[in-house]
Order: sequence, then C-alpha cells, then structure tokens
Amino acid sequence: MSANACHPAPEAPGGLRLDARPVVAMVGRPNVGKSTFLARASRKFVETANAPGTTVGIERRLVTVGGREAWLVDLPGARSLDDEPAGDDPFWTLLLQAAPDAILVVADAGNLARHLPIAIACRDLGLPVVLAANLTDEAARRGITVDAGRLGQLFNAPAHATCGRTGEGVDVALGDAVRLAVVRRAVKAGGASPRATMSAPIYPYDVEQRLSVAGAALTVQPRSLGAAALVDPLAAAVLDGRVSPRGGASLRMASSLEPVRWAVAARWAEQAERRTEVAEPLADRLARLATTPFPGIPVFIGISLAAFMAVILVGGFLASLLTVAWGATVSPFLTATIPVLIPFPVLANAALWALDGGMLGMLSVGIPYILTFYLLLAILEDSGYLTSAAVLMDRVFGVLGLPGRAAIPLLAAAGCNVPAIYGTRVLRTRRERVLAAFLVTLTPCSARSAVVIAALAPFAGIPAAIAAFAVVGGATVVAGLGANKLIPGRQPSLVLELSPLRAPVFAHVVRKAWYRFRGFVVAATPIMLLGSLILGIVYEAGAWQTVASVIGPSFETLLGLPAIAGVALVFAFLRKELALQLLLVFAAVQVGHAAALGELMSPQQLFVYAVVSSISIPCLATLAALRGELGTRAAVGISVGSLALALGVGMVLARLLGTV
Amino acid sequence: MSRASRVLPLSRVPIGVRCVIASVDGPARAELEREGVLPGSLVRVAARTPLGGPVILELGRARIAVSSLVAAQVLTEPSDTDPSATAASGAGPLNGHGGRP
Repeated sequence: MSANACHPAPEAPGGLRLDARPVVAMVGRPNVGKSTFLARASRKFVETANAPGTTVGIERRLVTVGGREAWLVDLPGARSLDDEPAGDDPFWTLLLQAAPDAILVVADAGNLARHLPIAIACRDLGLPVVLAANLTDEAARRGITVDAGRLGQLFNAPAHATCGRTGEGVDVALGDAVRLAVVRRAVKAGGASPRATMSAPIYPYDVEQRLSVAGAALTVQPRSLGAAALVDPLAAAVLDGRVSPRGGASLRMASSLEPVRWAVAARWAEQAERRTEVAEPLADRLARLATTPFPGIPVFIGISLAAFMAVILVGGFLASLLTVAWGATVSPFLTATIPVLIPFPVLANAALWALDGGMLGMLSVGIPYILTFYLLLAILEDSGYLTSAAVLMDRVFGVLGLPGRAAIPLLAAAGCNVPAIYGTRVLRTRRERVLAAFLVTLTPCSARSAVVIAALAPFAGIPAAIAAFAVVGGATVVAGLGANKLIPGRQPSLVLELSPLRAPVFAHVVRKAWYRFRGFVVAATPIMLLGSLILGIVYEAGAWQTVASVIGPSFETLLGLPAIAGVALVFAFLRKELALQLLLVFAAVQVGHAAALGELMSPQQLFVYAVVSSISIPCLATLAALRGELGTRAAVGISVGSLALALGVGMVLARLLGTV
Repeated sequence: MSRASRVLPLSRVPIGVRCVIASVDGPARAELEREGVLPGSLVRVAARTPLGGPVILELGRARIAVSSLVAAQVLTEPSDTDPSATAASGAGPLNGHGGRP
C-alpha cells in the first residue's frame, strides 16, 4: 500500500484525476473480456486505490509495474471512437477526459478483423498504443491463433496474445503500456523526442493528405479565433497535447475514415491470424440455436419463468426468514428501548415506524429480492444470453417502443419492482429506460398481487381476482402504447451484435451484483426511513382522520369508495401490503370486528379498490430506486402518470360497476 | 443480367445466401458501420426471427441482428461464395483500393 492511496489527488478541471503518475486507458469493443482482463491485471499488481470516477462513472486503479506507478482507467466498451456507450457523449470525449498517456487496446484474438478498427483509430490519435489480442482460449477453440509478432510489426506497436481468464500475457501487455506511458510523460515534460510517439501513415495517399490538412487547421484555429478553441474540445485537446494534430483530425473525420480502417483491419487480420479447421465449438452451436423459433423461444420462456420463479420463491423465502428473525431479535429490542429513549409516546411510536417498520421493509425487499435478482441478471449478462433474448423479443416489445431486452426487467417486476428498475440498466437509451421503468411500476409486484388476491378472492370470488389482473394488464399495455407516443423520440431500430455464449466468471458476477445492491441501499435507505417516519407521525398523531376528511370526499365521489380506503392507499405508499392490512384494521375499527371488510365494502367496491391500489403510485422503495436511477423529474413524472392512470381506470370501473 | 438489376435489399436476401453490401442508408447507418456492415463487406444472411423480427447476419465470425426496417435500407449485390472471386469484381474498399503503407 502506498501512502498516496489515502490522499486522492485533486480532480483536474473538466477531466479525471491528473497527477505526476502517467495514465493508461483501456479501450475495446464490448464483450471482449476487458473487465476480466482488468481484474487479472490489478490482482497481479499491487492495487492501492479503486475509486470510481465521479463525473463519468469511469473506474480507475493505481497499478505498479516494475516499480513504475500508473493509473489504469477502464473505459466502457466502445465499437468506434465516436460510439456513444453512455447514451449522449461520443466515446472519444470520455477518452480525452481521461487524458491517457498510452492506450491499451483489448481485442478479440478470434476476430481480429472486427476488433482492429478501433485499435487503428486509437493509433491514429498519436498516442502510444499497446495491443492485447485477448480471449486466446476462445480463439483456440475456434482453431485460431494470433501471430503477435506479425501483428506488432503491422501495427508498429507492441502486441501480445493475452487471456484474461488464465492471466496469459496480461502483465506483459500492461507492463508495455505503462512503460510507453512513462516515456510519453517524459516527452510532454520535454525530456525525450516527440518523434517517439508519431504514428506512421497507413492509409491511402489521398486520405493521409486530407488528415494532415485537417490536422493543420486544428493547430491554426486557436491563434486565429482565440476563444473558439475553448468551445471546440478537439482544438483544445490538440492545443494541450492530449492528442496529436493528426489525431484530432482523425476524430473529426471519423465517419469517412471508418470504412478505410475496416479495410486495413481486414488485411492485417488476414496476415496475423493462423487458422486450422476445427469442429464448431458447442457454445457457438448453442448460441445459434438460441435465436431460432425452436428451440429458441421455448428456451427463452423457460429461462424467463425460471428467473421469475427464482426471484419469487428464493426472495419470498428469504424475506419471510428475515421478517421472522427481525421480529424475534431487533424488533423487541427497539420496542423496548425507544419508548425509554424518547419519552413522548407519539414520537416514540413514529420512530418505531421508521426504525422497525421502515428498516424491515427495506431489508425484506432489499436483501432477498434485489440481491437474488441481481445475481441472476449478472449471470444472464455475463453468459451472453441476454442479447439472444433481446433479438427474439425485439418485435414483440417494439410495439411498446422498447427493445427486446426489456423483457428481463419487466418479468422481474412481477416479483418486485425495485430490482426491475435497476434492471432497466440493460437498456441503452434514457428514453427506453424511462418507458420501461414506467411499465415496471405498473406491473403488479408480488406484494400487490397478494393484495389483489387477498382482498378479492374471499369477498368477491376468484374470477374477480383474475378479472382484476386482466384489467391491470390491459391498462399497462394501453399506458405503454400511450407513453410511447407521448415521450419524445423514437425507439432506434435494432442493430446488435450477438454475444458469444460463455460460462460466467463467478467472482465477477458476485462483484457486479454486490456493486448494484450497494447502490440500492445507498439510494433507498434515507428515503425509506424518512418516509416511514412521516407516515408514522401522521398515523400516531391521529392525523389520518384529517387525511380521510381531506381526500375522503373526492374518493367517495370519484371512485365510490369509503374515505378510509383512501387513507389505506396513502399508507400503502410505504409498503404495498399495507393497502390490505390497514384496510382490515380500519374496517375492524369502524365496523367492530376483524372480518368486517365484506361489510364495509361491496365486492364491486373491493374490485375498484384492488385495481386502483395495484396501479397507483409505486411504493416508497420503488420511488427511491426510480429517483436514484432516472432522477427526480422522471420519478415524479412516472408517479403522477401511474396515479392518473389508477384514478382514470378506477373512475371508469366505478361507473361500469355502479359504485358511484 | 446486369449488375444493377441484381441489387436486393438485405431484407429480401434469402436465408443462407452470401452477398456484398452495396450501400447503407437511413438513420441506422452509423450503428451499422460500428458493427462492420459497410459497403464492400461480405455478409451471409443466417436466419430470420419470426413475426417479421430481426434478420441475423454473419459477418466473419460475428453474428449481427438487424431489425427488418434497417435491413430494408441496406442494399446488397450477389457474391460468389469464393471470396477471391469477389475481390476480383472490384467493389468497395475491402477489395484492395486501400493502399499499402
């Protein structure tokens, strides 16, 4: 451990951390095993810091190679430098923000022709590049080996055959990158010749000429236009030496260079690959089958149902276990100590709502459902199956303005909405995520389904319960169609590379699930505690009667429901189960005995109530997740949308069923 | 038959047939380019998903799914299965118009 680990260097304005240590950026297409490579690299070398970047969510680690320290920056997977992996900014802006002194390009050894274009684009930037032809194990199974020496010759840069899983070549490649980064730092400090970092021309004469003209324009611009250099990020990057003039020009001309790069890549791959005929690996044959109607669709349905059942069964089991354990240990302790610590009964009881009810609510949603779902999602993601599912379901979900991969979070929503909201991260654009999150909040989770079943089955019959689900489902589809029309923008058409199937790396899966789970705990805990406290005060101070008198009349006229049903709905915001539990309590208070719900409300009223409570505003934990993932505006918008839909559907039902 | 009359949108190329991309149009152009579907590249239509779903292309060892709307905007020319024969026909940058350093 170096002393520096505890003292992070100050952030550079508009960029990532800049200090005396050189920066190596890792670049590669998605699914090339960059994370495994990084894990291997940082396990191998002393890892002294691991701080996620604040501005762009980039991970960087301090590594020590051969006595040299360097920052290793892991960038999101990108298919070209002007790709938009995070949604808005082109990838090269992320890359330049990191201000790398060298780039380590991770490529697929089994498919160089496809992975070299971005490596060539990095080389064009005028920065030192090291090429890691990764996934050599998978390549070998397909009968492909890479002549790293020949590749290095063609590239005019160090090239290594690497395998993140076994660690083959990883340290050598990283060592080379760090060495070149140190040299480049020396160049920038004036200690070495800048020629050391110039890249040789590789394109046809006319392309090279256009590049040099555009490059020259980038260097002239600041002097003639002054402030314009501040506006043009490329000119600024050229000016402060983050890219060469030719590099800046290559970014500007990216779209016209791309076909030429693919052509060069195809030629180089041809020369650096050695192929032998082998039988197609099983994983590839399975991947091919995964997108066929048969057995692809049955397999998809099976996997979806299994994931859904796992979340419900494992989650439900763990939740009840946790509730029992909490009730036996923490709850009695809190009930005993808090009234002693807080001498005012109303406040003490309200504090119990927060610390006992709120915390338990969080834990019983958080650990069982969310961790279970995250583990499953991480396994599906890492296995590469998710892209096959996305392609199979693309047409179906396209109607709702969603890509096929939205199937996974939407299915999970039937277990619990909260992990499903986080699950929308598998979607690419913000529009898709907002649309999917809206549909997720409308999908009845297991708690809401329980309310519908328990309120309707005994008092109105099982067919009524089934009809209620049908109404909710229909309303969800209609709302989805409406939202697709209302939210500006259009679902981009699918262009997606199908990931090869591979066995997930256990440590990686656990780490990913844990990282996301931590995000949920941080976002949801304060909201759950505060929300429960406020509801606790309202309830304990007897203010619920005021709530009833405020919202009661409109509830009665619009939906034909008793005022206390409205109160129960307000409290169900904390936990959806309360929609029924509180109603039973209120009914007992008003009518006088426990099984009074049937006397308080008619079957028609119960039907309206069940549907409205199922659709209306998501619960507090879901709201916290929405806010954490999509921001306050989207969270409020989705809540208002679902409330409006609930009231609208409720009013129509009330008129149809004659409760008003 | 003239070459122009044999131009087919990707959405209408039969399954299992190899073809050379002639031109790419529409809003998905940049996305297709990032996946290597550019004029001159050799692709094989591997499968179509049901209900008018995406077309699955094989490009080298990669498999790329392209929605049928996008596929309609990609024009293709027939290719002889022998890649060297395609190179001789002289269409697109993959066939050697890029010079050596």
